[in-house]
Amino acid sequence: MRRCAKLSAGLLILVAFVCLWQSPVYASDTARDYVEAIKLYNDGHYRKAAELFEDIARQGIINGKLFYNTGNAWFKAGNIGKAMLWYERALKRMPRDPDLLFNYRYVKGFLKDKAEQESFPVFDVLFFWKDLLGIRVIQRLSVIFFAVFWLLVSINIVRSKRLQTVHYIILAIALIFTFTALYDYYDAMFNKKAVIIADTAPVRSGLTESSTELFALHAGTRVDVDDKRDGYLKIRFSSDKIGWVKKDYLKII
Amino acid sequence: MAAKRWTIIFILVMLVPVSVHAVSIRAVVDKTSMTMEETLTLTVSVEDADADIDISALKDFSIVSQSTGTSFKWINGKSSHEKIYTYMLSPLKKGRLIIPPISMEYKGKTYKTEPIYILVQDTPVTGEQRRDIFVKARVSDTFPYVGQQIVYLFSLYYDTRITNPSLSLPGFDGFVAKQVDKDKESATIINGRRYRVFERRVILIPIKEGIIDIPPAVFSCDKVVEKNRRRMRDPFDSFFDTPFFNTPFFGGADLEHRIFRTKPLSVKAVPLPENPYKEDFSGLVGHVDLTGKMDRTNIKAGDSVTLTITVEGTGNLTDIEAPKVNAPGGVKVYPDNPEEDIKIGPAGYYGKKVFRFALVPVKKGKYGIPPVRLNYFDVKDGKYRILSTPVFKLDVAPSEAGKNGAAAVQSGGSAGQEQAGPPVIKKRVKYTGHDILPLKESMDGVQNRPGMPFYLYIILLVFPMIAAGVVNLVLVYMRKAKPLAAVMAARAKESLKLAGKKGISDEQFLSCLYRALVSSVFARVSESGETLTASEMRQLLSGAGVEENIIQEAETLLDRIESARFGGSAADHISRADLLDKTMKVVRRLIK
Repeated sequence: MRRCAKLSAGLLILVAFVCLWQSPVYASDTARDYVEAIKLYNDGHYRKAAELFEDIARQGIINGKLFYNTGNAWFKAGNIGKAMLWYERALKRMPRDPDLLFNYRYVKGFLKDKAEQESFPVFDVLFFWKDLLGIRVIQRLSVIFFAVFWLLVSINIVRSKRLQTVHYIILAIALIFTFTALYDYYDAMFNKKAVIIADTAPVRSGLTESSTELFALHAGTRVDVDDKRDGYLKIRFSSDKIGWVKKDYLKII
Repeated sequence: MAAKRWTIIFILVMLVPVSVHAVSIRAVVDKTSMTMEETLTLTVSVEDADADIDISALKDFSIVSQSTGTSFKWINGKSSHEKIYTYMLSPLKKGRLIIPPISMEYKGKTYKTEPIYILVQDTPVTGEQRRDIFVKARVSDTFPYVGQQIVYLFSLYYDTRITNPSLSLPGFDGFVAKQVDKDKESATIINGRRYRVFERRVILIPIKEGIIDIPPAVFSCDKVVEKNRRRMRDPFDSFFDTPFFNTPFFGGADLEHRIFRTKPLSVKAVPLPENPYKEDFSGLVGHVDLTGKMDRTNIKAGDSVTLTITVEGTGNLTDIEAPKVNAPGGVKVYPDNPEEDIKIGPAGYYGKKVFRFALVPVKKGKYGIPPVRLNYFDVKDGKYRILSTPVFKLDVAPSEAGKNGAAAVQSGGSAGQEQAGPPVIKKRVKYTGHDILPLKESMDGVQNRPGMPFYLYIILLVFPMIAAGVVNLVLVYMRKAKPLAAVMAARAKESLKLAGKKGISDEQFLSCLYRALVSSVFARVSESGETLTASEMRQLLSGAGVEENIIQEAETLLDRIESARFGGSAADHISRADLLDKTMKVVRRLIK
C-alpha cells in the first residue's frame, strides 16, 4: 500500500516538474544580441534595435518581454503597424503587465481606423479570467489540479475510502482551468487574428488587384482571419466589413 | 388709375424677352479620319449674330451640298438664336488636310473658328485612329509634399453610344485615397469633334516620400454599332429606321466590347522641409485661415468663458491637433472635443475644424490671453506659416462666494464654502507629456517561454488519471494474490480490534468475537468461511494437527460466545473484558 502511495506522489512530482520547468537562458550569442539590441535602442537606433529583437524572436524564442521590447522599438522607429503586432503578441503572454498595457493603449491612440462595435463576446465573458492569469499559468494550474485530484483518488482507493467534498471542490477547480485552457487552444487554432502592417491595406472583393476595393484599413488595425487563398487572406474587421487583403499587408498575431 | 396703368406697363416690360448678345461661332465635324471615298459633314453654328460666314479659305475639300437652318432658344427669360450652316465635304487629296478657320464679320468685329485637321487615307481608318472612345488619367500635382492632397482625375471621352460601362481604378498604394462622391459629366469639342466627357476624381494624400507609381485605370464598355437598314428593300424600312428601333433590343444594332487603359502615372512626393519656427508643427498641410473669439470678456471668478478657435480652409484638417492656449496663471483651461465640418470636393478636403476651450479664472483681475498660434505648412507658398489670433482680454470680478479674490475649486466641497486657511486648489493629475515606457532590460527576456503544446497538455492531463487506474489495478492484483490464511488472519485481527472499541452494543461485541474466533480457525487451516459449529471446529483443527488443549479452549470459547449471543445473557463490562481477553489469547495461539 505504502509503495502505491509513494508511486503516486512520485508521479505528481514529475507532472509538477514538467509544468514548472523553465528553460534556461539561451546561448551566449542570443544573449549578446539581446544586450546589443537594448544598447541600440538606448542610443536611438530604433530600427536596427527592432530588427535585432525580431531576429532573436525568429530564432524561436517566445517571451513576452522580448515581444514588448520589439513593439517599443518599432514604435520608436515610426512603424505603428509592427509595434501593434508585437504588442498583441506580448499581450498573449503577459496580459496583466502594466508597462505593456500602458504602451499598448498609448500606441493604439495613433491608429487611423476606429474599432467597430462587435457582437456580444460570449466566450470572452465566460472565460474572463483568461486575461487575468495568462494562458501559461492556466495550463499549468489545470494540469496540477487534475494531478492532485487523481492522487487523492488513488490514496482513497488504497485506503478503501469514498470521495469527500474536498475532492469534488478540487475536481471543479481543475475542470474550470481545463475548459479555459481548451478554449484558448481552440481560439489559437481556429480564431486567427492579424494586424495590418502596411500603411494602407486595400480590402478587395476578390483575389486580384483589379477586384473592387471595398474599403481600406491602416497600419495597426487588428482583424480576424477567416480564410487563406492564393496569396490573399480573407479578413473580417467587423460583422459587416469583410474582404480579401494581400498577405504582405498584414501579419498573423 | 395711374398706379394700375404703371403696373400693367411693368408686367408687359417683364414679359419682353431679354436679348443677350453672346456672339459666337464654332465649327464641328462628324469625323476626323476618312478615306477618299467618304464624305464629311461640317457644321458651323453662329449664335446671336445675323451675319454670313466666309468659307472661301477651304481649299482641301470640295462642297458636295450645303443647307442652312435657324433655331431659337428661351432659357430663364433670356432668348437667343442660332444659325446653323451644314456642308457635306469631299476630300480633294490624301494626307493631313485642314479645314481652315471660318470667319464672320459682325458689327465691325471678326469672329473665327479653330482650324480642324482631317486625316485622309486610302484604306478605312482603324478603330484606334477613329477615337470615338478614349480615356485619360492625370494628377493635379506630380511633385506634392508628403501629406499634401492632390486630385487624381479619370476622364472618359466618347461620341458614340455605349452601354455596360465598368471602371476599375488602381489601388493607390502609398496614398491615403478617398473618392469624390459626385462624378461629373459634361461635353467638349476636341479637334472639331464633340465628345461627351465623364470624370471621376479621387483625392490622394501621399504618406511617404519618393516616387509613387499609380497603375493604369481600366475601363470597359460595349459600343452600340447600328446596322445599316437602308440597304434593305422593305416597305417598313422607313418606320424602323429610327433611333428608337436601332437598339440591340430590337435587333437594330450590335454590341462591340471595348477595353481601355489609361497610361500609368508617377508622383514624386517631396518631404516637408525642416520646421523653422519654435512652435510645434500642427501636422496640417494645406491652405487655411485661423480665427478666434471669446463669448464674454467680463465674468466673475469661478465662472467660465468659451474661447473658440476655428481653422478653415483646405488640406488634411482631420489630422490637425488642438492648438495650445497659453493662459496666464490664475486662469484654468479645459479643452472640449473638437467639432469637424469637413467635406470632400473636386479639389480635395475642405471645411473647418472648431476647437473650444473653457477658460475658468480662479482670481479676480484683468487678464490677457496670449494669441493662439498655429504652425502649418502652406502648399501654396511651399513653406511653413504661423497663423495667430489677437490677444483676448478678460475682466474678472470677484466671485459671489469669496470676495477675497479666490475661487477655490475643492473636490467634494460645496460651492461657496468658507475656507479657514488659504484655499487649496486640488487638481486632477494630468499628463504633461506623452511617450511609451522604456524597455524591459532584464536578461530573462531571452528565456524561451513557449506555451505548452496541445499534445503535451493532453498527455499531462490524462497521465495522472491513467496512473490512478494503474494503482487501482495493482491493488486489486495484490489483494487477489494474498494467501488465504493471511486474509483470514487479518479479518480475525480486524474483528478483535473492532470488538475492543468502546460504545458498541453487546450484539455487535459478540458478533465481532465470533467472527474473530471463526476467522482464526480458518486462518489456521488456510481455508475461508464465515461460520462454524463446535464439531466442525474440532474436525478442522484436529485435521490441522492443533494441540488438544487449544482445541478445547476454542470449543469452550465458542460455546460461551454462542450462549451469550443466542441465550440473551447480559454481559457487564467485567465479563466483556474477560471474554475479549480470552478470545484474543485463543486467536493469537491459532494464527501464530
